[in-house]
Amino acid sequence: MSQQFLDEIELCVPALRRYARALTRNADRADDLVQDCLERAIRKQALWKPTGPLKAWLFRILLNLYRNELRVVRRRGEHLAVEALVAEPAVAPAQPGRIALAEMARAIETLAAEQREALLLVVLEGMSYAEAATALGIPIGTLMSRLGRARAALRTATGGAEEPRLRTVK
Amino acid sequence: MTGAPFEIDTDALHAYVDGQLPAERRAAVETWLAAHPDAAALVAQWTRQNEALGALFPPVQQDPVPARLNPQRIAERVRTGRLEALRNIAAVLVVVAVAGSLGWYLRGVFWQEEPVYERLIDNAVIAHALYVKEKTHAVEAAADSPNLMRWLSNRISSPIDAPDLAAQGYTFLGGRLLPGEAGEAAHGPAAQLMYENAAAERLTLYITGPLPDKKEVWKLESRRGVDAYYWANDAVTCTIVASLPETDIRTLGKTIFEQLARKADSTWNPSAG
Repeated sequence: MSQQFLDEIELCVPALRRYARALTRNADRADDLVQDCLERAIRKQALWKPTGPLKAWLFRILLNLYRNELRVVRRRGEHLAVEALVAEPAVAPAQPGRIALAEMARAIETLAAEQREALLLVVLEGMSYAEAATALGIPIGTLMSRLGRARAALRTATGGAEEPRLRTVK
Repeated sequence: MTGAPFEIDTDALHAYVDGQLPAERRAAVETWLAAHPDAAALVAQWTRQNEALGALFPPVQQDPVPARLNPQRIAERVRTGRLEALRNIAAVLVVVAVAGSLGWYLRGVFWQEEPVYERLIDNAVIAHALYVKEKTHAVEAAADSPNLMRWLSNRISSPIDAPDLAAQGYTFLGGRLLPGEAGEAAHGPAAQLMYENAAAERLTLYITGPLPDKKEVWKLESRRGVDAYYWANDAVTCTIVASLPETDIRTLGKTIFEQLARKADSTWNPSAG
């Protein structure tokens, strides 16, 4: 196992944890997910082509594990308690026009899973669209349309829809 | 979209919000937004969404990474796990190999081969069932055929006479030659002798030359709905097949085996019965 490979993985751990937390809304579950992801990546090192971006590959593994987990939970009909957000601040918006975090927390829950996955990947990780599309295993056009739908849905959910709609732009 | 150096579409606005545009394009989008307040409001909304999401899910850099998320440690565990798996496989292989050779070694101890007479008795019972039903062709050669017993004696390589069962009410009908078995249990051909009493009840004797072990064996049992009484010595084997009470078949056996033994001129020990 090459040391360089492990070092590169180590650099991605904070990003993986952040993304996993955003997906699961539960710090422990998120770390479980990241641990599974790292184990799998290290076991399957041979499958990773050094030419591709390691980060996108890791996120792809994480997403697959997350989706499998969701599928299992859904099949079992279990209800996973959503932990209170660690950093949920006061409900009142700090400034007019700003979106209250609690409001956003609720809004993000209303998104379709695929929209949430795409939006969080782009916004939280600052991944390039190409990289994010790779991680999600979708074409870039699909990524853009998911992004668009996610933002529109958030707008509706956070009351931003009363603001002028975009008509002039295709 | 006047004055824009590239087409400003929704994708470009997303890219602007997500900071994915090179500087000159950023500037172009900003110029364009200044002229399009609706789009500018939307972009502002998206930007606020991004800020809210970023604040909602803050970076975890300041959190110490738990040991279980350390790739070095995971790699170590994966490596030792693999080694252990290999060791387990090796251990299982050793156990399988040892158990296998032990089993092979002990097979002779625990696995007794079925005695040859078991098959002789089976053959006798099958032949009996086949021929006692026959009316006109129950025997190949009738009792009065000349040299019948010499012929059969020669073929089974043991001198036999048809036992006299007149005292028990049975008349000798005749006999036939039957094939023996090939292979390890080879015992050569067999002579089947058939008897009948006044009630038209038939019994058969299935006689062969001696088995290789030449051991004296007695065996009385029921098979396929008939009784079979087997006896063997160093000169001959004989299976009586009939449907009779046990005392009758034992009495018959005594006289038949006695006569065969006397003819074969071998040791005869009636007390063994």
